[in-house]
Amino acid sequence: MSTDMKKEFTSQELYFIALVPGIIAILMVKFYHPVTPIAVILIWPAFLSGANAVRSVARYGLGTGTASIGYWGTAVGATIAFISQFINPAYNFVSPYFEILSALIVGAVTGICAQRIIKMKIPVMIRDSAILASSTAIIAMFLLGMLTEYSASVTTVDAYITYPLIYIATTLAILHPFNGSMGAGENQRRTLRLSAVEASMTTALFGLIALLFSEALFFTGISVIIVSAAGFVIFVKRWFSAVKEDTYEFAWTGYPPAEH
Amino acid sequence: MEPVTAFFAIILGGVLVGICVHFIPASATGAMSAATGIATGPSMLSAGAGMAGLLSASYSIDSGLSVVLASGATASALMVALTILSGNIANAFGTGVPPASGQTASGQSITGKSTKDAISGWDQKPYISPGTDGHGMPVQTNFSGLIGAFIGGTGGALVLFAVYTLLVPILRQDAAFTISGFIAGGVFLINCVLPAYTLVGKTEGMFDQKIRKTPKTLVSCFIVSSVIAMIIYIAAVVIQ
Repeated sequence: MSTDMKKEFTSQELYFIALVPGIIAILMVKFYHPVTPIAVILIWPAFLSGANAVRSVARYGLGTGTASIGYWGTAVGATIAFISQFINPAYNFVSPYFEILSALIVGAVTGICAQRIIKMKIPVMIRDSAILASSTAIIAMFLLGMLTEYSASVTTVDAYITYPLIYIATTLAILHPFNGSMGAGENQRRTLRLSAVEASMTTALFGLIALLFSEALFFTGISVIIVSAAGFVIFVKRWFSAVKEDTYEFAWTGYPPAEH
Repeated sequence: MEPVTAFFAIILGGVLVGICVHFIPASATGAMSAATGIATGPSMLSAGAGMAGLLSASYSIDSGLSVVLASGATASALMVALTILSGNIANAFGTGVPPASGQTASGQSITGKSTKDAISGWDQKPYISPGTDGHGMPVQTNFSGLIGAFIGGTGGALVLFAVYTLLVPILRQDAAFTISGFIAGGVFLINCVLPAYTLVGKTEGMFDQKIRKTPKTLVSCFIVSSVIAMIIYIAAVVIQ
């Protein structure tokens, strides 16, 4: 497999690519909401980092299934993002650092429990649990920030009705890329490209939610949908070309029908 | 409930959620009637039962702690009972196999070398299909599932009530109510995946040998729940 021989991104590399733009994106939507369409592009790497963490851990065989680790990761990240919403606004300066650090700690502690107490033999458990939880916290914080407009008095606490959607949409975007690509010939390139497709779909969905959520978010919603749709077209083409390449290679690994 | 009491209630609730997973019979290969247990992963099934409990508990949030706990526990138990009943109907009339415990039939369950159901006294061995590890949910497995769901529902409802108590003084009631529900759901999901690591995708409940691994779950869930409770406490009480 030629694709397998290509160098893969490490979890740390992807997390760094997710963390820095992710924090910038959250700060952008918090302090200057009109730039949300640009910030949307910066949040996509967090989806890739989360999907890669699921891939990294689930490849070892968890015994719980890929879906469970996705649900767990988002449970940590999104729960901590939701917890942060009732912190006194006077301490707003601690956000998003408090949430990201807390998610890293809870993810790492869970990984340590799984590795040291339950004795799971997964060498990347601690690192990738922490990265998964932190990536989902970045996504949840951003989506919450996107759905608020403080100048129009739409605060993050008002967005509580969107919590279930944030939770489920993030979970599916994180767990599905590996689940949808797994099997013989699964490789990081195809999984990450599918993750990018699902990231743009998720942000487009939240653009639509923003439209419905408040009149103050009309232009935010429209612009986010346009940027996400453009990203979706680009990523789908890239993902589909990877699928075609991999399928082509697989078509000739078995016996052609004429030889049976 | 005092904030400090709520802090410890969140930890206790998280630990109860973790323990409940060991009692609820689940097996992915149960979908093909190839193993005893409800046909799904233990963590997802426990999470489903927990969500049913939280939904029910939330309706009685203004009625006091005891009603909230009872409501959560009974709703979870009802959800698992109905799931087991439906699974057994599908097994008996769809696949054509009777409920039978694989571990008990092979004399490897927690009850020793007996091949009889611990509650009904029915022999399990003649009912096992060749090449399978049991199928459906016999009486002892059903009983274990009910106990597990009762424990999990109580734990989830306890977390819901504790978080709600912490949030009511600082948020609008509707916001506090919804946010505490989601945080309780999150704590449930976090704690029910950890035990699934020890169960490796399959358990017959409290009569399964894997019940001996409960202390590991207890310690793990205690540590993780303590960290989560601390973060909730810091956000709701300290940074206010």
